[in-house]
Amino acid sequence: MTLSPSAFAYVADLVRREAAIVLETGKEYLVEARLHPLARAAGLPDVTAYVTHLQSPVGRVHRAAVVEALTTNETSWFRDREPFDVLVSHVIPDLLARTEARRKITIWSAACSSGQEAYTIAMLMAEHVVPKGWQVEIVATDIAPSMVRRTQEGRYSQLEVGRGLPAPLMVKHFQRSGTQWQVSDQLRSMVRAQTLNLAAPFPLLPVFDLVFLRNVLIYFDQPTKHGVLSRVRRVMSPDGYLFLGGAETTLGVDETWHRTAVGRFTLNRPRPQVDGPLPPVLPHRTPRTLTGAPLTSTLLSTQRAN
Amino acid sequence: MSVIAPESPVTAHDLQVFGEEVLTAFLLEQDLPATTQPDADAGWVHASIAVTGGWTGHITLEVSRAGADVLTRRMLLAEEISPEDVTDAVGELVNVLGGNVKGLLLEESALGLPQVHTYDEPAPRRAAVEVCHAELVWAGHPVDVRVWLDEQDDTTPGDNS
Amino acid sequence: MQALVIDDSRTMRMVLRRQLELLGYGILEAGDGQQALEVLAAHADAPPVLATVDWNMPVMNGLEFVKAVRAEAALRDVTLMMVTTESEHGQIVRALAAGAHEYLIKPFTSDALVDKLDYLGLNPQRSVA
Repeated sequence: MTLSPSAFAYVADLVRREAAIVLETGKEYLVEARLHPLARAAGLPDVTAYVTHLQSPVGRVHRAAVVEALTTNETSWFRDREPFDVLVSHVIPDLLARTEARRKITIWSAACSSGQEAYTIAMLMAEHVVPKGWQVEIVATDIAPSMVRRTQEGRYSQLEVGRGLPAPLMVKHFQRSGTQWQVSDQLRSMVRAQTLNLAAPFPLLPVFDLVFLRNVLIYFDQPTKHGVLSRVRRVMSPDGYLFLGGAETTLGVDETWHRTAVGRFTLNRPRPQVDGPLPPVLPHRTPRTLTGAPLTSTLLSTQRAN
Repeated sequence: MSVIAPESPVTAHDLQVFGEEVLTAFLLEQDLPATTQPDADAGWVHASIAVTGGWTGHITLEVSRAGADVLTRRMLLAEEISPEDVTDAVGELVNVLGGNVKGLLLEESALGLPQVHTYDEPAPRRAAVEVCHAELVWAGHPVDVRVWLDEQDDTTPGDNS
Repeated sequence: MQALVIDDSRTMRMVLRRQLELLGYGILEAGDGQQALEVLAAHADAPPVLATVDWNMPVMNGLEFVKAVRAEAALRDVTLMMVTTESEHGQIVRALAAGAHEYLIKPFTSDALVDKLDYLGLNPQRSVA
């Protein structure tokens, strides 16, 4: 009835071989949850039958999908919350003051997965930037064409919209469409999705004011991390801001960035090429969180990489 | 029932989608305790929830007693369960499916409260047009889910709560 | 921190209790809106910080409960999160307009519940220093 021990052992071995990720005993529920939709799509009654199918010559084509299903992280709206608080309290006011002449903000959501981060940013821009008459362009990229398509469609299952999307923003920007929720045309018109491999030379890209490169460097080795960060810096405005994931840092990887702590969050900025004044640091108004509550701690310190 | 349902906003595929979501959310918990309870009696658990208003009909769920016991243990993460637990858990499952189905309807309608019965045989059907049906598999047990459009000339009050 | 779990299904109360207890909440329970108001009255000196509110319940439904709580100044610090199978856009709007702060559609994963509490600042395991 549930996943058989031999089926679990096969899947654990497959994922360890192909992605160097270890699935310990006790993770059977995870295998069942992630592979169940694949089993149904293949017309098989349960995951054990699906795993048996995988081991057959005709079923081997599904192995890549299994590895992807078990190694892709679930992505949620307002993931980690803090970067978006800092975006609203500090970064947007700074950009509005700084890029006055252009009245346009250009943003990159790198490794965008199914688009939740790009549309989270779009919601905040719709709230805080668009009403001031500014244009916003968000380029969302992912290595997987399937994720790029999902981002373009902007349709999410009920379980997906349940992940961290605040109800007031959900009713404002989404409509039900059958069993799914469709993001509004306003947000979709801000987001342009395309495929891009971060580990290879970049195609032609605009100059970005903001880059969200979160929870992706952790998958790369040190030289690749350095390569990604220096390519990213070349497509960023010198006044721009780079957002990394909570467990990621430019420190010790690429010293051409300088780091600014805002509360518990660290913003990275491209370092000027020649000695000169650093871009002034923040903020232009009293910091507020998304919900209007004051940030508990604001500018704690400014670090400079030597 | 040989009546063809009029075009409906609810399809078998929709029921499968909702079934997957219920499975993912409530029925795949880890650390499931092993049971020492004897196998459940034979028979069936039948749950129904009414929708009234712009669209009037009901959603039914039918599962074997053995299957209902397994689903109840998974939801409660409990080893020992009572018949009342089974009634409540299966009722909540049809409530969740029913609310999601109602969300697909174009007309504004209200959801009733779940009714749960156990039968020795699959439950008798009442005067209604089957809109769609899906055979879900939850925790290895077949679960029969159907959406019914109540016949409009029915003068008896529907399920009320 | 205490949370009041309001649902006519004791299965659902148990699901929510388990997930909230794991986060460190103490749990009060009620099977309908009327019972929930009585629980709040009995804990008037220290009301729970959070109430999860089912919509369709006998005696008093969740929407009426939300309106009743919002009419009571002494209960204004209770955060109200609908947890219901009602899933139409219009229903969510209605609940928010009545004074609910958040809305979680059943079925939901425990991760989704934690996300909502994180956003509300009501996850005891991630309280801001």
